[in-house]
Amino acid sequence: METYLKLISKSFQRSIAYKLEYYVSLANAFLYIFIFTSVWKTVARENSSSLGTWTEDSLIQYAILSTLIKVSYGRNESLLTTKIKSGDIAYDLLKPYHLFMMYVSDSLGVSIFQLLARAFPLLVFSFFFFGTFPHIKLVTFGKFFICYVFSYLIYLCFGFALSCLAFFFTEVFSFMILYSALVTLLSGSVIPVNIFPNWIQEIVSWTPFPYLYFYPTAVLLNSPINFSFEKLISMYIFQVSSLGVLTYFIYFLGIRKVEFAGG
Amino acid sequence: MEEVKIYIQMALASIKSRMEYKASFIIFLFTIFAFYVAQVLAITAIIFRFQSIGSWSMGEMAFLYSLLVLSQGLVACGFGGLLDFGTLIRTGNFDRAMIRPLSPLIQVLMNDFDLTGFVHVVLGILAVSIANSFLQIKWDALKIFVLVLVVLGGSCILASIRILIASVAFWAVENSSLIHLFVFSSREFLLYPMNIYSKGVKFLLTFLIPLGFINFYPAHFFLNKDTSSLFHPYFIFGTFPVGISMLILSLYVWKLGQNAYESAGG
Repeated sequence: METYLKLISKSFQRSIAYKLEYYVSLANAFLYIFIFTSVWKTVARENSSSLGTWTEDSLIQYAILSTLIKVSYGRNESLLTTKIKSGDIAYDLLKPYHLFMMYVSDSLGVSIFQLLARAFPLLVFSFFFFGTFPHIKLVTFGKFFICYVFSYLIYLCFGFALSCLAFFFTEVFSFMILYSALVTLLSGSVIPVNIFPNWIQEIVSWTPFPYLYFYPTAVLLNSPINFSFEKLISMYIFQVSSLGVLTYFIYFLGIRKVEFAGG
Repeated sequence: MEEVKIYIQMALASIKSRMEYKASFIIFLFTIFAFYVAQVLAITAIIFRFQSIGSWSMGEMAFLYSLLVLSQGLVACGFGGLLDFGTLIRTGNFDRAMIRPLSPLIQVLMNDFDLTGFVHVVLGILAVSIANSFLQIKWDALKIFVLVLVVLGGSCILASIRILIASVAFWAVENSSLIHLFVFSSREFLLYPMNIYSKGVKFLLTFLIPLGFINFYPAHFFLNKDTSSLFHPYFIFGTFPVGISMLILSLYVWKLGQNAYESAGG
């Protein structure tokens, strides 16, 4: 346990090290919030009859919160891929920790930094800047927190599975792009999934993507989703377990392929 | 003439090295295409639900997008090498370009010539066709000529931003976060019509980082849109001159940076 805590602390400190990187990444995240809020403000004012259960305010709040949830997840896909490519993974396999737990610890360190140093300040700034505050009850926040934890597990599984593809392919960048494409379209990071026609929503709800950003944000804003909270949690458990099994499968097959040239 | 031959050979070598792993190359092309399709579908979903964004209809948005990706395609092919320029400086590898009797900038560009950028061109042509099917734009010789100038001008604007940000590495060494902000994220502004943004942002995208000239202003000319709300109605013809001016400025800054460059090697 101490080893993993050290790894978390190490990746947290690594995130603090680059100051320019930090400020630019703040600007970057705000830029996305600004673009999405501008889009939603415009469409809400022009086509108020097509809003359905949404209002201008709730759409703006959605844009802010979904972007910040995304921002709070630390990215470290290159951690394993570069090690696998260079062969440095051999040293990690010799060390007294599990590769998956090492990946999780590193990701946690980056994510804690992202949450505290990027998402929170931007959350406060954005709500003041756009002058809109969601009224969130403690129970709602509790429900959101459960969804957030599950959503983070899905994010970790995706990241680790994509990284483990480096055991099979020389270049995994293409898979990362494909993942980004699916996240852009189906996760709710750009558009709330319930903007889609019902039949698309039904199909999408069986994929893990909307469970990343759409459902946590919708739960936090009390926006209507197609099922009850209990059903949502059971869907989360289903998605996390299926992805977990798939991820383990990719890792298990990948690690068996590893061969090192002795010297 | 001899120099041009060498540059072409460098570009060909770069293409060959990228195509060495054929399966990876084809998968990469496919995924780049999928990424842009996802981006377009996300915007389409909004328009499908709300009919328009900032009074820009589906066809007009497709045209706006086509101007962006066409310009981007040319830049992605020729100027990809500047995205990782910070690494060349950090590792001292830029020294190799400095000691050869060739332009260091063109060497950096040709060493990383990327054929996959043409995916953007294919997408751009596709987007123009879709826009045309919605809007029935009447294409005559003048419009085609202006389109070519707009795409060239837009490419110059995007290329000059890459050169300017790459030049930062001569002084700051590390510029990857700036690349992300100015090259990739700022482009997101252009996926939507500029009239949806606040006045300050419109000013920024017109006078400071003139991205608006890549697609928003010229689209008014092709789509015969009302120009009264623009900073100036003549801005719809500004893409090419703005692009050339930006390119000259960026090359000047690059020259300054190159003169200030002190090798990282020891």
